[in-house]
Amino acid sequence: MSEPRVSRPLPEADGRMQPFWEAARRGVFMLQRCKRCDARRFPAAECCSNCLASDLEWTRASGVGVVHSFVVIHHAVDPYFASRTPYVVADVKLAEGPHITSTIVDSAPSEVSIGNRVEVAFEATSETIRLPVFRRAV
Amino acid sequence: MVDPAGVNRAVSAQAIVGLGLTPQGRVFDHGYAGFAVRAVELALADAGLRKQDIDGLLVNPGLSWSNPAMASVALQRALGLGDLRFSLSMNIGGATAAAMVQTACLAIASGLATTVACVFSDAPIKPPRPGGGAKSASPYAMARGWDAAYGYFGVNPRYAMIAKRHMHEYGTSQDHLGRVATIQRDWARDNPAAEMRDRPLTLAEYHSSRWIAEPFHVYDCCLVSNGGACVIVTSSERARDSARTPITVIGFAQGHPAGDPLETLTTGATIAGPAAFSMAGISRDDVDVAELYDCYTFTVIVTLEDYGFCAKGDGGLFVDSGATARDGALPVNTGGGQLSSFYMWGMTPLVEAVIQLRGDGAGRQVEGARIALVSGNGGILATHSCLLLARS
Repeated sequence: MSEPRVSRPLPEADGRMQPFWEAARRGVFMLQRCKRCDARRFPAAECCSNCLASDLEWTRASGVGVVHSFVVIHHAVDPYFASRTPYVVADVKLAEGPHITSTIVDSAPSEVSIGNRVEVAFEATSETIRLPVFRRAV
Repeated sequence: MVDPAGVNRAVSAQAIVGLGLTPQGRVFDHGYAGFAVRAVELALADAGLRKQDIDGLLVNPGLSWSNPAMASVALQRALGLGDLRFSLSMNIGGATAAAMVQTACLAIASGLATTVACVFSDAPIKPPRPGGGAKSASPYAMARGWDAAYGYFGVNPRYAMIAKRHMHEYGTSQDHLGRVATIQRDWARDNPAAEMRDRPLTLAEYHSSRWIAEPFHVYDCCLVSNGGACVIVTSSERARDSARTPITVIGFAQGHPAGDPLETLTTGATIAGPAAFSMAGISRDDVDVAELYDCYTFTVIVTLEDYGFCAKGDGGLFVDSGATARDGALPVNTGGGQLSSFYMWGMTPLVEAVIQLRGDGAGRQVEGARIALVSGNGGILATHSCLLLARS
């Protein structure tokens, strides 16, 4: 049996999301855009679910949105998160339309409300992953 | 749009003649296969049929099945059944049980089979080990990719996220969620199969119970159970010779809504409900008892709205009024549901509907129950199935 993992579980920075993570390392927030119908989407898909095109690109996004909904997690099995409860998981509706699952930093759970205007920030979580998080806009 | 007339009447004129339910909950005398075999054996005995009478087999494998793609083949072997004329492993999550009954009706109406067993079983809870308690349900964790980086694991917080938005949009309150939990716990006390039958729950206890994913307390979330359940469907003609009162399938439909449930706050009941009522030629006012899929308290609230039992957004107020409780206008989840009886996915509401329509509910029997609505729901409000059942 291996020792319990205590590092944050992180996605692989390769595959379809590779350009996203490359941009994130430079502090740039991107969304996938369909070159045929201009629909924006997140997370990345292989084909556009609107017009079914395969010709998708990454485009710089505003990184601003509003808290559409959120939960406060009080019980986590994962060893990294188990010691960090209670913590917020938020659904942020981005200005461009897509929703993104993330968290709200620099605010206590009790300070987060639906409708909060938020902007993206990046947390250096590993050599390859700078993870987008959101901060309440002042 | 489906043809509302003759064809659908023929398709839906089949009946449930057998019901099998194994012991439920923290029971360890079988694995998933043994629970499935036992459930079928109980259903056959209930129906007065022999296993040779079964020529169709539909299986909804729970999460512990090792080869879910071939579940119906594995169960055919495990039951030692003869040649089958119809066999499917099915999965649209919690909407599968009602969908299995629908599929059985279609197969029988079209002559593919005469008598179809619809089966669910699961054994996600591991037996207690010396020095440690029973270990539950790692299959329900579903950790992966993007969401895991934010500690967004499993199904609980995803429904909680939608519930939170519903509370914001419509004024649904923590009390409303709690009322679903306490009312169903009250129903469970007269259900001998209910895991929580001896555990009364007050609203104060609900509010002081531990949070899982706020706004969900532990009592907003369904149980996790080991066990099996089976119903046997046959033609109404054959059902006339049945040992038990046949329960006729008078209408059914599915609805799998497009869009993000965080935006729509809506289930597929808005699609399936009108179609099922149209097929049955009845209205929602004719429903005597509703057995609604209740993975969470919130699911009951939103499902009541989407069938039109109250206005959109008023599901919490409707429950708070007492309408779904004993002596209420619309008894809902009369066995305690998955919150308080047992978690057999879509089989839980289906089993209780059959019990009520047979008049076997004893202390929880709804007087004169003649028509039941059964709903199934899967994914994150992604799939929905509806059955309308009637006492023949």
